[in-house]
Amino acid sequence: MTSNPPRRSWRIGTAQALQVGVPVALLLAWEAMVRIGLVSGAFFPPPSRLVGQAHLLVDADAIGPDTLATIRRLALVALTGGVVGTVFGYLMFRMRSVDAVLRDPLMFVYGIPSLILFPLMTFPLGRTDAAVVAAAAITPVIVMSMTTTSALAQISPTHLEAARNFGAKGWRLTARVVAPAVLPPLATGFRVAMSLALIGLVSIEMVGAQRGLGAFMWQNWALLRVTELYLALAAIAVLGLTVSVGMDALFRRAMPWAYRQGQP
Amino acid sequence: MKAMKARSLLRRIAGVALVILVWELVTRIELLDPRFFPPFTEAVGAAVRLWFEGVLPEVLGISLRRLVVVLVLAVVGGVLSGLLAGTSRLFDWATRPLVDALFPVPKIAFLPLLLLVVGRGEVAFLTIAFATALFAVFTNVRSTVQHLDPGLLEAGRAFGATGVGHLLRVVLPAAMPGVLNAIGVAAGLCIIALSAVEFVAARSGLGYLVYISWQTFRIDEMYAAILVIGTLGVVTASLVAALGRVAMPHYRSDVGAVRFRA
Repeated sequence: MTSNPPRRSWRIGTAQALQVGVPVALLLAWEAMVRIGLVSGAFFPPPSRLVGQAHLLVDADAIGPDTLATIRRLALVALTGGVVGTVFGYLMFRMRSVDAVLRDPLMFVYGIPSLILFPLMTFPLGRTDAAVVAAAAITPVIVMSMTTTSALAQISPTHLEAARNFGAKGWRLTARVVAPAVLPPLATGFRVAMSLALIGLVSIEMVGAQRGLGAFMWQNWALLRVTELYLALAAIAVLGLTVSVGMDALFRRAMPWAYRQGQP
Repeated sequence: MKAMKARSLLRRIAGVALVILVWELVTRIELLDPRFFPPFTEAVGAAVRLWFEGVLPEVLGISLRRLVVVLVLAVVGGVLSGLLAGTSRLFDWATRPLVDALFPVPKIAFLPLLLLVVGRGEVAFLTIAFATALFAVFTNVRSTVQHLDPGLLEAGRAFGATGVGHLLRVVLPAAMPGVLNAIGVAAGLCIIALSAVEFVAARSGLGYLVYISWQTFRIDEMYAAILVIGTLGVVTASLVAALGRVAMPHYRSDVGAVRFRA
């Protein structure tokens, strides 16, 4: 199959004009409405002020420690969810009895928000960072274990048989056949898991942590620190985009075979 | 076929029963601190007690009402705008950057700002849950419509379907599995958002029941509330799957039951 270069026509121009134009126009409208006093700058600080104050996000006396705390926790959740979930999923795949017993209970827990499970974690762990991370990691662990079992079950038997016929086994079979087949769905699952993890983490931070972007927003909304609230929200948005769009771009680059034409 | 189905159902029930049994045993012999980990039967007992005291019906009623209002609005709005974005390239181009930028942001992060602007009340709570569900429905329907079989659309056009007729008679039926899947995903996320908001900010609803029983150390009641939230998720997912079977008898699989997509 030859790859078709994108067709150049006036439509492309319209697409770009709209895709860039609409967000820019909205930002300008926001700025203008505050400037002429149509909208209260106290509640809706203009974009220019937000950009000007963006340094507060890394300022050690402002939101800096909270930004760091959230990033650190998110990384820990990613690590826990990735490792524990994958190992657990592999065990479920190898031991059908474990799968049969645990699948429905896991789906049950999956439907419960991490924040609701946070109190359970505080009993053995106290109101600590460990409890926050553990609660936020529950959903990712479940998503990753389910993804792993289904990814392993979906390896093409034809590919496995062909590889065996050519004498591939052990490590080589894993690296050349199993990994390329399993990694793309695992990557997709990981992206979903991390999006859900961020929702859980931010909400848990609101009630269960002294530091973190969620905690910062919760402690400061009543104090009318509006600019800082918007900045913290923007930082959470950047984290959300990083774990979705950013990871997607990374995986596309790292696993080109999984994203050939016509495939998602 | 039927025997196989019955056996798999039996095995699933046995699995759940086993987990419950282990929970009961581990807590009865007090392997885990009994102050924090009540036996399963005590949690269920607390749920029954709360039900007959009238607490649970009230709290569940409030959460269900919120859930239904939000979900209906989000499904109607999300399906309509999703169909529009899937069929009109201009609308898609105009909305895509904004939607794709906001979609991955946890909507609960908007709660503090919203409380500040509209005050601590139902509007703020429902908006968060609505936004969560709306984005899920919209993006899923949009992508479903954009990946429809072109042959179907062409056949519709050949038979003279245009405008609203084309949307409602050709595009929507063809996209129905995706729409049902979108509703399932949205319902799950909506329960998550709603109970989180109730836990953090509202003074009513199931999420608040978990929060208040945690704070007042009524642990069995806390477990009862958590069990009810989990059951709500399972029941909602089954309802959506059943809706799918009714709406699309020509499809055999449980489309609505596919949940691992955010």
